[in-house]
Amino acid sequence: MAGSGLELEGPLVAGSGQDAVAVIRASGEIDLSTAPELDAALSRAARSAGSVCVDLSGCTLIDSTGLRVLLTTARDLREEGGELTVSGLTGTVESFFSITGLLLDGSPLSVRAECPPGRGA
Amino acid sequence: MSAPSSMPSTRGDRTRFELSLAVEPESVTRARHAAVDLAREVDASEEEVALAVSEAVSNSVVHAFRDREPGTVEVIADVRNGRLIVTVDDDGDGMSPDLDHSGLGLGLALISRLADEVTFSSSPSGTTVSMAFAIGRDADASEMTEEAGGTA
Repeated sequence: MAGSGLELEGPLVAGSGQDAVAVIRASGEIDLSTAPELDAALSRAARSAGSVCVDLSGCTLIDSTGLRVLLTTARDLREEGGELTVSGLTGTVESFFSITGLLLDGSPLSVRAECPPGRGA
Repeated sequence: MSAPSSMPSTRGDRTRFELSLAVEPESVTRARHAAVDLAREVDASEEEVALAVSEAVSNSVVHAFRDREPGTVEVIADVRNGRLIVTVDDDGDGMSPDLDHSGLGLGLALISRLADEVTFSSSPSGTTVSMAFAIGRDADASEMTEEAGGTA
């Protein structure tokens, strides 16, 4: 449960054209005080590529405010034919995704082991 | 309830604390960190306490003061009858449907899932959420990753 604040890296873009994925790496805590930073980073990422992957391996907490930001972005990307993927779920973050049902089939968020390596957008 | 302040006031010992917080996003983080420190001290589930307190204080900050000047959120935690009790109390307008902000239902549902016992009290003069968490061995037995049956 160590670490406060939120540090964001990216977007870095992997692939090209319709297959391009913008990658954001988040470290720290995502709550009401930091969710706007994630929201802004996701907006930048969505302008860089049709799909976005958020690496949460350095994230120690996310609550429903942060989840709402992810789900809103996922919905917006899906409307344009893209998707939002999250990776690196551990500890409290993984537990949160589990109890909110987001690790079940049919979840609006795709989960993968890791985001692809990207280059600077 | 005291006048709102941009900085939290704290008083307490190693097994209890009282925070009087301004209605601002940073208060969510402050309350959560204080509650997690206490959870660690008394051997309660840090995950459950962190997430539940985050949801409860977020509800107060986002929903309690919609049409008037923000007031105060008080967070009081102590150990009673072998459980960690965390109470989040605001002097807002009470719970009511908020069409401008989605997600209130999810926050309350999560609190009910995370705490061993929870009581909600709402009136036009404010909302109080009181959450009880197991400590010691009981906390180990009710880890949130143990999905079967839930904890509400």
